[in-house]
Amino acid sequence: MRIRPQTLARLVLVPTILLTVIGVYGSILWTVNISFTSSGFLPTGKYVGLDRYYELWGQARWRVAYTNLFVFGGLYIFFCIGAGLLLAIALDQGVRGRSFFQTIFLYPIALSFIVTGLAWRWILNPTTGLEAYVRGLGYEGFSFGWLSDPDMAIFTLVIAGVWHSAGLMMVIIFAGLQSIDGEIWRAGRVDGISRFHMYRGVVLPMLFPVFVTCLVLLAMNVVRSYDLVVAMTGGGPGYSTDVPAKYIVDHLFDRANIGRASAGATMLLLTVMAIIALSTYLGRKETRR
Amino acid sequence: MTRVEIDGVERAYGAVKVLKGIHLDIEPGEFVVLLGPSGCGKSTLLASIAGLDPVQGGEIRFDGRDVARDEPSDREIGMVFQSYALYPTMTVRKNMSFALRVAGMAKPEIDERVNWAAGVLQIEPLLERKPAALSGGQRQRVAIGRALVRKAKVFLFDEPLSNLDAKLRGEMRAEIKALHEKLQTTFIYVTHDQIEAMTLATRIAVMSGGEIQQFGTPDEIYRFPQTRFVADFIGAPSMNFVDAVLRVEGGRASLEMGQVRVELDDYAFAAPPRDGQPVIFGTRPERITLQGDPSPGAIPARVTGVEPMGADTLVWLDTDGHRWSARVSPEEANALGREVHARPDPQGISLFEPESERRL
Repeated sequence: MRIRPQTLARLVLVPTILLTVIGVYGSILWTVNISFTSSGFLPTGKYVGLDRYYELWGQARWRVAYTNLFVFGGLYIFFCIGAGLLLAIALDQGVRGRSFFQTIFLYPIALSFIVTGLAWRWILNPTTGLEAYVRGLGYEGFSFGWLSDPDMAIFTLVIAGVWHSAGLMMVIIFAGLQSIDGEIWRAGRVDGISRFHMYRGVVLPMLFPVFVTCLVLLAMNVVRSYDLVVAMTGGGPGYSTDVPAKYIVDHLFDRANIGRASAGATMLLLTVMAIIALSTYLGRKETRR
Repeated sequence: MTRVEIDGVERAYGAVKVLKGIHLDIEPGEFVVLLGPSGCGKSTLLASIAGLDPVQGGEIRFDGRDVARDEPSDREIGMVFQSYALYPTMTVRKNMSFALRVAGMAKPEIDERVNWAAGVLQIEPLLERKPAALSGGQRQRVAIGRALVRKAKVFLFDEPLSNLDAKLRGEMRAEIKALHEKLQTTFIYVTHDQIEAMTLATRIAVMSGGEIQQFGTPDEIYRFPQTRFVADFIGAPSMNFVDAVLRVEGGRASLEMGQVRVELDDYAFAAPPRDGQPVIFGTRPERITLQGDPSPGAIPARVTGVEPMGADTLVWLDTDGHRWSARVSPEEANALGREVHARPDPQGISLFEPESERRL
C-alpha cells in the first residue's frame, strides 16, 4: 500500500505533537493538579481543594508580588514603547550617524537581565554609584536612595528594564516607520498636514500591528521577570520588589512548598490567559472597525 | 483657473542636471501632459511644481505669483500619486476631510465640502469604507477627492494609471478627461504612456534629458515633430528614418536617396533649403504605400516580416540596411510579394538637420 503524502506529513509531526502535549500541556495540568494538594517537598500530598489558594491570597508577600507584576509590567511596557517610539521618530527625521545611534541604543539588549540588574544595582547603590558621584561633584545634599526604599525600589526595576529593552523597541518601531510609503508623506505635505499630525493621525495608526508585536515581546519579559529582580534587589528590601515568578521559584526550591508554588503558577497562568483573551478581543475589534 | 508659468527652472542632484532651465507657459484650464522616457526629468518637474522637490533656479508662477519657494500646502494644489497614497487607517470620508480638520475648519463646512466632492466624483456610497476595501479606480477617485475638498487650483497627476490593468486604464482615462471638462481647472499630468498623452492632453510637453523637446497639441506633436527625438519617441512603431541629400533645382526642392528622388513641393521648410544639404528623412508607417512595381519616388525594399494587428497590418521592411515599418490594410498586405517598393506620402514627410536633429 502506498502512503499518501498527507499521511506521511502527519506521521512526521507525531513526535513534535507528543512532545508538546506531554511536555507543555501535560506539565501544566500536572501543576494545576498539585495546586489542589497539600504537597510540601514532594508531590505526595492529599487533595485539599482550594486551601492552597486561600493560603496564597492570605499571604501579604504574594499580594505584593502579584501587584508588582502589574506595577512593574505596566510602567515597563509603557516607558519601553514610549522611549522606543520617541527614539525611532528622532531617527526617522534623518539624523546624521543614524546607524551609530542605533547601535548605541541597541547595545543593552545584548546584555542579559542578570548583567543589567547587577550594573544598575551598582549604579543606584548610594555608597558606590550615582549618589556618591554627584556628592563627589560637591552637591553634598544629593540623595537617591530608591534602591533601599521599600516604596520606591520597584521603580528602580522599571528604570533598569526600560534601559535594557527600549533600544529593541526603537529598532522594531523604526523599521515600521521606514516601511511607510514615501508618497504618504508627500501627500501629507501637499495636504498641509504637520509632521505631528501625520504621525498621530496617519503613521502611528498604520503601525498598529508593530505595536502589538512590541507589546507581546515586552509582556513575555514581564511574566518571566525573575533574573532582573534576583540580580538587582533580590526581591527586597523585605519582599517589596517580589514578583510572582520569583515567589514561585522560592517556594518550589527553597521553601519546599510545591503545593503553594503550583497555586501561584496557576494564578500566573490564569492572569496571562485573561490578558491574552482581552488583547485578542480588542485586536479583533480594532481590525473589524 | 490658474495660469502656470515655469520660467527657467533648474534642478541638479550633485553634478547631474535633471532640469536644465525649463520654460513652460500653461494657459488657465489647460490639460498639459509631461511626456518622456524614464529619467527625462518629468517627475522631478512635477515635484518642483508641487513644491515637494526644491528648485535651484528659476521661477514657478501661479497667476503671476512666484511660488517656487513656497511650501506645497501654500500653493493650493492637489496631487494624485502613483500609489494614490490614501491614509489606510481612515475611512474615505476621513481621508478627504483630514486636511480640513487639521486646519481647524468648522464641521458643517467640512461636511458640505466632502459631500460636494463625493457628489462630483460619485463616491457617496463609499464614504464610510476604508481604502483597502476599494478598487483601484475608486481609490484614484478618492485621491482626487482629497484634492477637490481643498479647492485646489492646479491638479497634479504623477503617473496615476500605471498601476491599473489595461481595461481599467482606458476607463479611468475617460473619467479623468470628463473630470477636467467638468472642473475646468488646470491639470498637469505626468506619464510615459503616449496613448494617455495623446488622448488626454490639450497640449503635450515632450521631455528628454532635462529639457523640453517640444510643447504643442497632440496633433502638432504627431504630425510636425520639432526634433528627431520627438519623431522617434511618439508613435508606435516609431517614424522611419533614412539619410538623404537635398537638391534644389530651379526653386523646386527634392530629396535624393541613392537612385530614388522624392519631390518636396508641399514641404513647409523652416529655413530655405540649400542644394546638396545632408538631411535625415523621416516618414510615419501609415504614410507609406507599398506597391509591387517600381515607380518614381518609391524606395525598393524587401519584406522581412508581417504582423497582422486586426484593423491593419504592420509590414517590416529592409530598405538598403534600414529597418522600416509600413502600416497597410490586411488586403494590401496579403497581395505583397517579397520585393516591394515603398512610396512615402509627400504630405507626411519630416526632415531633420543631422547635426542638431532639429526639424528643417
